[in-house]
Amino acid sequence: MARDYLKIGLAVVTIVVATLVYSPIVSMIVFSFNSADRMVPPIEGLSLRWYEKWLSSPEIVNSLTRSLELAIATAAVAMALFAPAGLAYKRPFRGAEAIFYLIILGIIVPGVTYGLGAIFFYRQLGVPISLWTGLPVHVVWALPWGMILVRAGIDPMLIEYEEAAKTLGATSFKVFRRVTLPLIAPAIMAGALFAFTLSIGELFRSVFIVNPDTLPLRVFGIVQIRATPALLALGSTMTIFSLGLLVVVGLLARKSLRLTPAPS
Amino acid sequence: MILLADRPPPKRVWDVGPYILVLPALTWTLIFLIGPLVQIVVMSFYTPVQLSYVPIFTLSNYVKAFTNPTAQASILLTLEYSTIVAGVSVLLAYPVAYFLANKIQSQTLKTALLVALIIPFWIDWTIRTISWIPMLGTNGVLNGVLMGLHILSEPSPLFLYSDFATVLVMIQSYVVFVIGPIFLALAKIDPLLYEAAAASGANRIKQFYHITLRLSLPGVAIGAAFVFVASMGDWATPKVIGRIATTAGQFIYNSQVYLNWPFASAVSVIITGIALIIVIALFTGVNLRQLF
Repeated sequence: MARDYLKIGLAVVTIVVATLVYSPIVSMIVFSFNSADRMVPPIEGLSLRWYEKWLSSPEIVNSLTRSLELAIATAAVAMALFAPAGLAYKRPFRGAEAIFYLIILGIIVPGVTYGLGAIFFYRQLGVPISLWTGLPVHVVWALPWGMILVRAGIDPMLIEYEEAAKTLGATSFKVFRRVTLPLIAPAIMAGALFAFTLSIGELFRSVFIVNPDTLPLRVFGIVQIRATPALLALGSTMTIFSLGLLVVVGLLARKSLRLTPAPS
Repeated sequence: MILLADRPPPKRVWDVGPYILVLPALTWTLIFLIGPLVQIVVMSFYTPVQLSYVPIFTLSNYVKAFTNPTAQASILLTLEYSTIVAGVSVLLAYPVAYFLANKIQSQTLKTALLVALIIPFWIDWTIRTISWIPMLGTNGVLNGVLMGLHILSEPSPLFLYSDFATVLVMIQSYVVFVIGPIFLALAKIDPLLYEAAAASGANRIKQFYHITLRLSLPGVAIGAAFVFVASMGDWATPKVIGRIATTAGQFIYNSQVYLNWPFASAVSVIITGIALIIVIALFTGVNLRQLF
């Protein structure tokens, strides 16, 4: 019985956290359909006017496009850097931990500090601020997460599997392609998805060094003047879109898992 | 077996493999992170003049940061927010991570629940934050519920634009970053350890303390460090939903807006220093390598 109480207690905390994380999302969706021009209850009537409003705003649509471009580029560049870096940690090497902590600094330095430093850096180099001056900064932030995920995702038996494949006569490339890659691919994909997620929402570091603006910068600018339900409609649309994307990716992943034979 | 015995021992001393693999990530970090950080340190010693600066060495920015009451108050307020947010996040995250790692048997359900926790982060941060307005406002949902339950007799204006709102929104924004590392650490624990402990007569509480808690501490340390630092660098939450008060992050943001770069840099160096001390303190208490 004691075990059951524990399980119930844990489930209760989980529900509390889920409520905390999801209540603004529910509130956002509900109040996006309110026809009244304010952010608080009561709901006067249902309407789609706020959806029409944001869709007909070229500034918002353009900033959303820029956010997507930057997030995809961040995920791609970060992946190219963190995948080999994480894999390097399959065996110990001299200076491994020092290098690890140096790269981890990217998530330890407070965002506002790094953003400020980045302005000085670009000024010193004479690089004009654009959308793409955000790329190095976003990658610095996303890279440590990917590296941690890949390092943590390395199978303790990975080296033995590789040795076994080599002993059986596989070339280095074939060992990588058929043994190493399938074993670390889930961690790499998780890292890339995480990098995308971090980049698309980035505000604290980008504020000084990205122009024309991305969506978070645009929305923050609007809120400084006046928050309207059009923003809730925008957020709701993004939620539905993300969920749809997730379902598609999930289905594709299941399909590809079924089609690929297990690495032998 | 003969084949294995005949093979030369693997070369260890001059194995450049790992270095080639980490080199791109390391180079990127050195140029794009260490470069800007060095610039901040240099800038913090320059002399500010009206809306600009001159490269003459001075300690006045640091003196000002440590003696100016507004700057002091903002650094203390930031530490207060960060400590509360990190503490509450760990207390909330641990049971959730434990529940997901140990009480959910189905792998599919486990993945689905983890993904469900990440989805809210695909919604714009500012939008997520202003979505609290209908919940917390004087006419909002929370007041309605509390009055319906007769806990409050009249609506409280304290939920929105208050310290409560700042801390609540920060916890909501960062709690998932604590759940992740703790879940990772818990999932790595070998179930055989529990059998061994039970066989040697350890009860459930002892098992939890000696195995679960100790082996998951690296996850707790990473999560707590991240949340602490993230709340320290967060200049926007108090601005959007908190009370009118200046955190260190806002202080830096405002100094940047008024182009007082040397002073903004000095405050940045101070809060980064504090962040590093806290992170090092958290990391030295645990063996992070247990995670890998």
